[in-house]
Amino acid sequence: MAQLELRNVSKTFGDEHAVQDLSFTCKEGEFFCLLGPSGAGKSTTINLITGIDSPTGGDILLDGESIVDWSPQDRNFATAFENYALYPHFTVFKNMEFPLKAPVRAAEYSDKDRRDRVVQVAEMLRIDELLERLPRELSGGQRQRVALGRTLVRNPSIYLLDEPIAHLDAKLRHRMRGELKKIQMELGITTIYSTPDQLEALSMADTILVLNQGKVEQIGTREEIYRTPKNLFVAQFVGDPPMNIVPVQYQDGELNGAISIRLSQDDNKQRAAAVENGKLLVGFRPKDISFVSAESASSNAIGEVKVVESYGRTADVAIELDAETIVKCKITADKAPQVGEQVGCQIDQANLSFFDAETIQRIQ
Amino acid sequence: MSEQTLPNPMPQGNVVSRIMYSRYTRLILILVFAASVLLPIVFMATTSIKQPIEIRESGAILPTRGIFTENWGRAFANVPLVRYLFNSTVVAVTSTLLALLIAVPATYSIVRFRTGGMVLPSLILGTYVMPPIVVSIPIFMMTRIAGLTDTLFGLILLHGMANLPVAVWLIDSYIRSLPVELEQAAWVDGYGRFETLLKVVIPLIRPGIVSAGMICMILSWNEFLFALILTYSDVSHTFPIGISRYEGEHGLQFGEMAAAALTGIIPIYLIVLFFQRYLVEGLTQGGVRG
Amino acid sequence: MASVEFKNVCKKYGDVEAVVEANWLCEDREFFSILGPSGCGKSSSLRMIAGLEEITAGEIRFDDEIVNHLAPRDRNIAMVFENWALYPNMTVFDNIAFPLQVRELPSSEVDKKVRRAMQFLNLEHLENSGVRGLSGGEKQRIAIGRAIVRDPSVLIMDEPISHLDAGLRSRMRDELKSQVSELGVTTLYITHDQVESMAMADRIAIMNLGRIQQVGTPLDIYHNPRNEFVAGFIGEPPMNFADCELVAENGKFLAKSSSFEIAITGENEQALKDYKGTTKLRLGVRPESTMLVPQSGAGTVSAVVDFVEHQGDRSFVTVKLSNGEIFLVEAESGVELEINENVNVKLEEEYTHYFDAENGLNILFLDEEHD
Repeated sequence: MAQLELRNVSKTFGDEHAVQDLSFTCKEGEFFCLLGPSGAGKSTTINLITGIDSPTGGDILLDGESIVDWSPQDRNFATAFENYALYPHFTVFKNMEFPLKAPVRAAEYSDKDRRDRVVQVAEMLRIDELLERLPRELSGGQRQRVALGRTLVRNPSIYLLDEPIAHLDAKLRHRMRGELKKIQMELGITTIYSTPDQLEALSMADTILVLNQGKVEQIGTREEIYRTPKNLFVAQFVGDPPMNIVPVQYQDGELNGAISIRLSQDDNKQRAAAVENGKLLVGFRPKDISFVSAESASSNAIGEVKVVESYGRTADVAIELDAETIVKCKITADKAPQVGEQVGCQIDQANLSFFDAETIQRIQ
Repeated sequence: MSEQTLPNPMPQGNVVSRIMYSRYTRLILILVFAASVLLPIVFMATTSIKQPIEIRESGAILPTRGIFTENWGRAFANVPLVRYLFNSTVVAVTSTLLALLIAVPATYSIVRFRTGGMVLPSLILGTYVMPPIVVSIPIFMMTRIAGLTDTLFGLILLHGMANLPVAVWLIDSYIRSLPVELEQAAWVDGYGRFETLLKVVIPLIRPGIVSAGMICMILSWNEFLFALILTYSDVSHTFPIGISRYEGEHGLQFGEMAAAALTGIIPIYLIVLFFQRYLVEGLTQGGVRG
Repeated sequence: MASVEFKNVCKKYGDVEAVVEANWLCEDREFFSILGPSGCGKSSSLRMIAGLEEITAGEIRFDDEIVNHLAPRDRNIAMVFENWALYPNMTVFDNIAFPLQVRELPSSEVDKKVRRAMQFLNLEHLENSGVRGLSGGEKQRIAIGRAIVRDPSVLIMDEPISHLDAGLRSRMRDELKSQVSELGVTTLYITHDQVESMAMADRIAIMNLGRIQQVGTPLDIYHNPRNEFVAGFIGEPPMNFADCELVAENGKFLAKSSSFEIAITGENEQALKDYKGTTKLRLGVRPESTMLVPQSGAGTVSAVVDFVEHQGDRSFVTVKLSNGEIFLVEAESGVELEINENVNVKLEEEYTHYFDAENGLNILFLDEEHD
């Protein structure tokens, strides 16, 4: 178990800044998630922590001690690679056993210990039937689980999981999210997990770091990331569908634009008034919209229903407020309007987010 | 497409005529090719059982004056052919091992550490492009100074070094196509660079090593120029030199030579056949997401 | 435009049956999705529609015309591929114009058609730029443009957005759906992702192991799954299943297992009235149709909390029944529970399904099978 700290870590490849000035602390036993789109620098960050790459600047500390100069095999981290990196010439069993046979820890395990450990992990990942197969005889999902298994057999100070379940099918992914989180909680091993999927991050992580173009957008608990996104990028990356953002002009307690809201709460008024020219972006989650008749006085906006996507009990509805503004809302399917219908939207004021239209930063 | 295990679609159109067409064309092409490759060997085999006088007088492929098996006995009696074959085997096997022993780590270093930058790889191949005759005199001098002329060891050393570029060149692409993540995974799993090379890289590039080894062995087995310059006696003569020693009172003994040559093809052919089993493709399949 | 119909279509590769007696009709201008896990036969179906693959038995009709023996180029279909298959060395205009240039149309005609497609897809500003470096959305629009520029009677899309990041995928879904509906072209959409089918298709044909499992509108399939496979395949998170036994007590039907006892009511009860089959059933209920209640009582199942998962607006609780079976329960957002805490799970009766444990059929559909 260990605490890991990155201090102003940067990595450049030629002229390209893969990671810039990255600082964060992952506490002992924490499930820490790196969330960002592809190309954000997640894999680079993981490679810097494992020691496969060395940073161009900054320091990496394990329990307060700098490990930047340590070789990967001395760091005692276990990694699941995004592209699996299974040894193609070994069976599943040998793949999973391989880390336990490494010179640095070969003495710790007897043959029986190794076998027991591999079988135990394989059962948990439901690949115990596959132990004698070669990687090329497995499906993508099975390969990914073997890669994860090879990581979990060890007893490292930190798990580094690079999109470990991204290529499983939806059903299995759902189950594996739960399993992984449970394993992590039981073992209490510090875990750094990278994913492009906000749902994985929200459902598993204690702390989420949102990474974009090599830079930190926000670090916080899942509640903070979801409820109080620090800027426009985080607001629009987290949530499915993501937060609706509408440009408005604030004046005398009122927001005007594609939507019109008379602010009733002082807290909202205070925040809205914080920008001098009154140019704001107001943000609200799809579930904070409810439908009223287009004529209703309580409606904040009127628009035409463009798309209705039904997922069974719930449906996502896209409403065009004007040529530039489409908002999405999430409602129960039986209340869904028809495509082409004019509807009034009422927006719940309890969870409004405000962003400065120029800096696109959140107004606290 | 999600179902990749299914076979390819059948060709459209007039299926039957297209298949017939392609089958006959292919057969004819194969026959022409096979004839051009096999004819000299067949010719050699028939020559080995012809009367010496017939060889000089007639150009027919098949013997016309009856079968004359004495060429075979004389081929072994007049020249120490077994000794030459033994020498050739020792030189080919040992020089190949030497070349591979250096080529594998050298290539790994060139590919992964970019040793020598962009220059070294092209320089290495450059040395092979050079005609051997150009360097034959300095090589002879150097070997003499080292006291290695007319020894098998000298020839082994020379063949090993001469074939090194070929080995590096062949192994290079195998290492290059190996996903670097496989090695990185091993480092994180607790293995050092060298252990990773032994346990992960070498098993995976085995087809490359085997094919490089086969090529080196064939090159060494057939090599004539340096063997001619550096060996003076039966102690170190190799098979190609041996072939040139079938001289009789009436000039070259073609019948015996043909018998000896056929004998000399057999060992190298067996070796190649044996190692071909290890040339399995797709060893690295399934390792990383493709 | 045209309708597409499969009549008893079969496809065999040697002994392997890729498609078995497939029957469905995609109406003119319909957005029809063929959905199934990998290896279910959907790609073979697509290849047969496109004419890339011969049919072992049956008929494929475009409108009333049997197209079994038509070559691909004579079927007037267009395809959008999984990776969009754009030509990186050509401009946007040339990419879209490509299918027309093969047909040796006069260049003024080509120009007119390409411009119309570009205008429709909002690509005019990119006319002369290369396709490298364009966004995923733009590339998708180009791929669609190339498909529609020659007015195909059927547009086939083969997992066109499956390989995208989650966020981009949901945006692409919206775009794709509105573009296709505005075009009004008959569309066959092949995918393994039930979310895509549910969100976009007018109707869905679900396939598994070469057989059509159910054809219907997304909501119909969601609420009335014909068998256990369909029930489990549609919906995210997936439906919960539990083994149970059918017991008749005092004229009432009960679903009984070692961990619960639930009265079977409503439609399900009706269906069982003269049911003579097996007594082994599988109970199926979606996470959203279960809830945690403070009191145990009729129709509740007692369980212990295994794991709690928060997803922004929603929270899911994984619970373990007394016999070890796992249920996923949708709870109110942010619910706080201890691991191993005892809870009571209530199942909404009208959304609880029962399947014959042997053939997997929903008991509501048992009659159909006898016909």
